[in-house]
Amino acid sequence: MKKYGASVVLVVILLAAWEIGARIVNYPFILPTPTGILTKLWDLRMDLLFKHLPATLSIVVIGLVISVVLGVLLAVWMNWSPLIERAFYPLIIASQMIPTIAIAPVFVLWFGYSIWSKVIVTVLITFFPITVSTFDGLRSTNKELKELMLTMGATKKDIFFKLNIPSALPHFYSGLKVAVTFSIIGAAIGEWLGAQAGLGYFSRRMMTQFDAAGVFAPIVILSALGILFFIIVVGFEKRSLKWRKTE
Amino acid sequence: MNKSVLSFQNVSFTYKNGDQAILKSLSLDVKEGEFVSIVGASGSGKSTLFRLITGLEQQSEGDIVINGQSYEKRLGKVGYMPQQDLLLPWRTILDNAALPLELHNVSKASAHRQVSQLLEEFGLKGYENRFPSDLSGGMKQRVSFLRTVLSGSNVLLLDEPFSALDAITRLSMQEWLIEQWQKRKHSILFITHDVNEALFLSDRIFIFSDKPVSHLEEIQVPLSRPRTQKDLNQQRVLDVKDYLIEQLRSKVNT
Amino acid sequence: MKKWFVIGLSLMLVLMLAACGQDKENKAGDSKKLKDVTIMLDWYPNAVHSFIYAAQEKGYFKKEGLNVKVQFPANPTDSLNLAAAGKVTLGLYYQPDVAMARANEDVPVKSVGAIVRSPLNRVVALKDSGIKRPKDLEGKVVGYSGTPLSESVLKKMVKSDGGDPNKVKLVDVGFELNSSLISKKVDAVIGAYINHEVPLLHKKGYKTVDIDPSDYGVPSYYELVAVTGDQTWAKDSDTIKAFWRAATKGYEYTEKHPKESLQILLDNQDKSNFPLEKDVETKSLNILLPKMKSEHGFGSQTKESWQSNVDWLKESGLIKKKPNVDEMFENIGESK
Repeated sequence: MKKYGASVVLVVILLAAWEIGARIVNYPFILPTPTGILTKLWDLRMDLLFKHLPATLSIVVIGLVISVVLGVLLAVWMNWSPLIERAFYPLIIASQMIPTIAIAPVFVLWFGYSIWSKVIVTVLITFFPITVSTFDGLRSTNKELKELMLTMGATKKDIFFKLNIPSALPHFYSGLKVAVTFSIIGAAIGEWLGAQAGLGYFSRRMMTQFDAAGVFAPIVILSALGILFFIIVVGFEKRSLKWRKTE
Repeated sequence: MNKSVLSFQNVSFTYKNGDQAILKSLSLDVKEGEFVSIVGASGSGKSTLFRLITGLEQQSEGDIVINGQSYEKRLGKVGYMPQQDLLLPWRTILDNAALPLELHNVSKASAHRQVSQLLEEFGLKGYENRFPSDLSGGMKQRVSFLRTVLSGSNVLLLDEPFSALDAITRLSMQEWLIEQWQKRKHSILFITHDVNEALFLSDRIFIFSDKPVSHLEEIQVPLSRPRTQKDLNQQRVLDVKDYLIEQLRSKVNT
Repeated sequence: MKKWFVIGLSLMLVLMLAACGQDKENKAGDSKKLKDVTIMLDWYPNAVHSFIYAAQEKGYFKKEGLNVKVQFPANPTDSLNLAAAGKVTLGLYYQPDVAMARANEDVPVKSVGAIVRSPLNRVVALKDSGIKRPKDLEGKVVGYSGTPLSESVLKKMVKSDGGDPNKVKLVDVGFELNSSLISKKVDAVIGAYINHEVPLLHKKGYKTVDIDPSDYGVPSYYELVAVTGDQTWAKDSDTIKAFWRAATKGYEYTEKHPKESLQILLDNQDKSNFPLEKDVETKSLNILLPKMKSEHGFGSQTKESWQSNVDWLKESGLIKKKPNVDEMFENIGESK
């Protein structure tokens, strides 16, 4: 716990500065105080935690699973074929330049107001870091290790499963850590269109009501969710990469 | 002791993007149970020789014969120990050593058993479940050698395995290597820059001269076994050493 | 290296000071001539704003000593927020939303003028859907922009018509009212304006059924009002009154010369964000002008209007407490 002490102190200082600043400015309909947000969180806890959180969470989880599968498969395919790499890499990068706000209505047109329009928005943002990092990881395979294994009679399949994949794993985890945070943002944005529940949906609704504390309260939960997911990934990372010696 | 385990018959080789031939119609022969050192200036073609034997490269002409059979696909036929230990950092010592067995589809349980039996001999008992990052340089080289032995081949190629170690560790590793070799009776090809090392370890020494290599000069080491480091101070050994250094230096200058 | 850095930095500082000095000079210069007034529209320029641009083009603001800057909102709620925060002098917004903001969140704004005096909002369905009245919406899907107000309006309309609002499915479609209707993803929409979305649908060749909320139990309300922050009103009520006098002249000009006024508007449209079509805006202005007219003066407001809206908002649960209606508006538009 000692190692989080510095962070806690910093957060407390920032929150205090925010509280004081907001009170001075005194536009609670634009800038809420932290205490205001917490009060609102408590008031709305039932709806937020039991109606909106599960809605967003299901989008996040489904989106993440699809992104991981899609991202890894894409990375493997691009690594296997230089032609595929040349064809797909620019497209993948271009896909990130499309503003989500612009493309979301198009998805709604295709998928209607079901959960899938929101999942697609999430996947669009989330698959990218996974694909790029996994691909780089696969390419980072040590050439000398590969040759050594060839001299031992390794087949292409052996090289892929026993060398490429373990080499790529640390990079994959780096990408995954970024991806989980993106997936939560993606789900929240996806909910801006065609949703009936969800933390992003609720936040946007509160914006129309000039309830600034109400806008931020779901955001607090989204942040907590993001931190939780991040910690979970780090936990998995530590376990599968326990051979790594860090400074 | 007369059977040939490895021979080159008029082998020529040029790298794909190279302009100069590395080997030109080279022939050589290694007998069963021999310990042969290969010395030569950097870039003279020693690694190329190993790459050809292991099958990482294909010769343009000639035959490479292993254990009496000429092979085109030679991957997996000989054991190769690289200069850096090249242990897979994510595998335990046990799994690293078991790798060649795994690649030959030996069951994991059986592979682990074979490795465990040898660990004590290799001075690695108790380190089965450690990772390479936990081990010293000398220990890692021993794991690497264990892995090479487990390749199952009677021909082992060792590429400057001790050059990265400090002088004292190197000496003890040399003695240990001879012990292992005498026990298991492999045929060993050993690349080194260290002339003393070559003299201490080998029966014969091949000298790589200028490119393209069409002929290797051979020196018989004038020592019987068992040897000690002190034996290297005998006059006839010193003469050979002078000759070797002479040969190497002139190659560097030309 | 270090020398160049110091020279570069001093140069920057000198330039910055010069620029600041320049600004101050300009401001000082202006205050002798015109007072700066900013007005943030409710959306990008369209027919309803003609009177403002006419007043600007014809010099009415200048005659009142005002230099008026027109701004467009980045977020739909900005015009109310920034007016309340005193960052703009005036903002354009919607009467029910103003009442809700004041009642629920104590947003410190006052309405100073009613521009569009009755609802433009309609429940719109394609003619071939067979929907003719609110009761027909039972079992159907209605698209809306996700505001609680729209939900309550729809509920009231269905109930008034003898239907069960719980049998109507509401789906948040954001701003995609027309496209979701055309693509038949929804059976009807609410939040479409009779002077914008509807003419656009007609232009595309779709026939529509338009249902007015005030025909079904929802009290009439001012679809567009001008608001100012409480503090701004306390400091600058004279300026705001001056603005309104000029704006009234702008409205009168638009009434007398709609074609010319519309042209001025079209010249000021934001082509990239909200391009206007002349025929649609002409239709729009024709619908709007009668709705902007009042025999008590352009922009005049009645306490009854505010009270009836507050009553209805409380009854539908959109506001929790009834605020003091007198504090919500300043009737500067009333002609003596």
